[in-house]
Amino acid sequence: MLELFAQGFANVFSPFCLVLMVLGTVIGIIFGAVPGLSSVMAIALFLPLTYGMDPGQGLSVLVALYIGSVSGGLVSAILLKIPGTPASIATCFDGHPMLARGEGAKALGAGVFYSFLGTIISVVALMFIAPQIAKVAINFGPHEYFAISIFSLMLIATLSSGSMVKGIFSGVLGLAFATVGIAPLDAVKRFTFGTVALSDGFDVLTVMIGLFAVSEVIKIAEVAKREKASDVAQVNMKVKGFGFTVKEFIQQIPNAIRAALVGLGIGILPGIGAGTSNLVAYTVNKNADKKHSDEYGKGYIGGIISSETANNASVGGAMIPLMTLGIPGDGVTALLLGAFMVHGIAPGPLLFQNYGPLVYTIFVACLVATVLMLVIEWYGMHIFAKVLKVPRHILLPIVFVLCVVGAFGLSSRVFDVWAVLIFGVIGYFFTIFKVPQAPFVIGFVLGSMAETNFRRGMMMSDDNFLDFFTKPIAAAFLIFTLVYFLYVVVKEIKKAQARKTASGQAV
Amino acid sequence: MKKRQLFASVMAGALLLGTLAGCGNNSSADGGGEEWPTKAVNVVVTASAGGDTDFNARTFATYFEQVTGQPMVITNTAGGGGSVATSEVKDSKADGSKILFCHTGQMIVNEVAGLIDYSMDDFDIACIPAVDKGTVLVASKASGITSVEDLVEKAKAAPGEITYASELGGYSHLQGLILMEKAGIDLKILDIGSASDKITNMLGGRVDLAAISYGAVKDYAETGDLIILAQYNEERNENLDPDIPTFVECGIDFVMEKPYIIAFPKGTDQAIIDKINEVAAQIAEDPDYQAALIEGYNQPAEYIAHDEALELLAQTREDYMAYQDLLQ
Repeated sequence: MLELFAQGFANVFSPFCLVLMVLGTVIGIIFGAVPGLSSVMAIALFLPLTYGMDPGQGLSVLVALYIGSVSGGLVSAILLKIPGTPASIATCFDGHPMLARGEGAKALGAGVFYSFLGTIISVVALMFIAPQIAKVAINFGPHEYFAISIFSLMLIATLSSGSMVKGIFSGVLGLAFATVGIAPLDAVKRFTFGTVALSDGFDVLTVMIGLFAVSEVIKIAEVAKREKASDVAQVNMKVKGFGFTVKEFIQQIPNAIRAALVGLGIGILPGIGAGTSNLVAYTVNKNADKKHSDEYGKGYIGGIISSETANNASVGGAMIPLMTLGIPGDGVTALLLGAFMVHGIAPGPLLFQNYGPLVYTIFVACLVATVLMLVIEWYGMHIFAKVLKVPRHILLPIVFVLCVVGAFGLSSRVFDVWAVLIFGVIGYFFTIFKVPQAPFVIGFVLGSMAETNFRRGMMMSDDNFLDFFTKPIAAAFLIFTLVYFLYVVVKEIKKAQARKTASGQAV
Repeated sequence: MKKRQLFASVMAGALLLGTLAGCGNNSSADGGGEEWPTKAVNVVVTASAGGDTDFNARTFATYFEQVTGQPMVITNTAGGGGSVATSEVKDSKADGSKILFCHTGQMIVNEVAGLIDYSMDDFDIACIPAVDKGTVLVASKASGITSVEDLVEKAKAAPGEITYASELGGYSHLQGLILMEKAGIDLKILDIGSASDKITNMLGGRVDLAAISYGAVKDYAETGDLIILAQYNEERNENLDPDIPTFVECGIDFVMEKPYIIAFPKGTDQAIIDKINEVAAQIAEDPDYQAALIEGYNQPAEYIAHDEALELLAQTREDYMAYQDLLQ
């Protein structure tokens, strides 16, 4: 094994490969940070370029792009309150309040450091226990996927503090939008109004860019013109290390571990990845971290740690079924699978045995890319923060243009540009009425997953609904869902009663 | 200054994307057919990057540039089971600047399944530049099925019990229907999803049979977790495991090879179509191209010229139409 590692190091540390990886990491971070550009786009653009390289080098570059782009989203999430990719949605919740309080450097530092930590934990899992935990993925069929998507939906719908009704409203609306297009299984066209463009439904990126980025641009457009120079947020970048103390680090260990496990677990399951895990980890930690539960969403470092550890832990998680079973976990790993296939290598149970040197080259590339990401983002932080010195009436139109370019780039259709604008308006009304956007995105993502797997499961069980409760994993998740729902309802009722008595006393 | 640097890099990223995505959209008419191509040709591929269709299109594009000196710019438009891409090319200008690269799944099965309301007659089909010969029928270990003969026997003993993984209304669904008819057996066809979903569910013992690309299952065949039963080719493809029999050898008269298709919008100059045939014939002879196909998808190079291709596709369409009621 050591020999293989040495060989891997030798491959990655060739000057050509290293230069490409630095470039890959930088481009990945940019694609991650710019709202409108995503990990999948970065890798889809560079995949054909790797066809001509040898497999080790090609995959090293793609891994660097992947790791950089999943992490890069935190920059815009914290500085602009716009998640760069779906993987950083939860980073906005606490990142932006921290910035507003003048703790922007600390927020960025924590985001960068815990992205690093999350990736390292998942890469170590990939290297040492991949074959054992990959078997988990095989046990998940349609019934189990239906149950876990319902569970995640419930978890995130209740995320919005204060009004659960608004959270559920948002989630259900997301579910409704997910039904547009060709239906799973029977290919019935739903809500397409006879158009070809709508037959493919909406792309998840148009939903996310619209709801978070375009809506934010519209909101700021209302006030930006009246804004004085003094209103522009300033970030004091003179901080020691990553901005947080050793005490905070120790205090946050349980949060980081929980987030890493959630990220890893969700990453391993094909079909869901970093876009879901950051929100699930955030919710889990908000509930588990009882002492600080109320501080989440108000600029608490634990929120950033939850989101950023989890999304990067999903990177290694998604690589596990890819490399041990040949099963891609998300859009990015599906592209990585293509990168293997063009060289005639089909990842599967014998990959480690037949292509040992290549496997270890990829492991080393993961580690190197993680370190590169840490170093580049750490030095880049000071540059990123300067973005805020740009007056917002100049900055946000640029963001807006990038959103439109990104939407068009999805599949060269003007339709996607319109979709982004429409979701932008919806998102704007959401912010006016204080309806959270995250459940909408998750409802949209998991809605089609829940529907497809429900119908597949019913087909497999000869339309016997009881199978969802007799299969142990599916049953467990559905029961969790119910228990958690009741728990939240009881908690909300108690809160409401407490408020009533409090106001009663005041009178 | 650093701010400028950031903006420069951000804008560079956006520009890069814009250029790559938008190339070939300028639809100024190309010169006469004789000189075609005088500029980059935009190719719309009906699948996302990384799959077999994309691989074939990109490999072809590489050699197209070598032969003609003009690049082919690939756009992956996977949506709507490929119908978004086919509609886009159908409705674009017939000046040779935009080409469709697809396979019979999108060109014929989509029509048979009722997903699109037009057909191959609404295009000017140029040729079949390549044929996929890598698909095999695979059984899960849990099913206990060891060969095609064994499958037929078990299926006849328990009709409708053995499960077959497909994407309903898609190519793999049709593969299953034809298999049932030709072998005279009754299988339970399930919707499972993509190739990776099929592998996951076969490994988990939730489904018995699936048609999958050989490359994706060869490791599992070696470990014994999956059993390869037969290949869909007319004659054994020697680039696969040479011991895999064809269906015909197993006594079932069933051949289903998957041709890739290059098509233009209706009304394209015949000279352009002749020219791409000339180029495709030349590419298929190139030993480097042949080696690349074998390395990637165990696929021997095969080119079918315009007239013969049209005949083959028309025949295929007629054969598939017999299953129209079952597929919809």
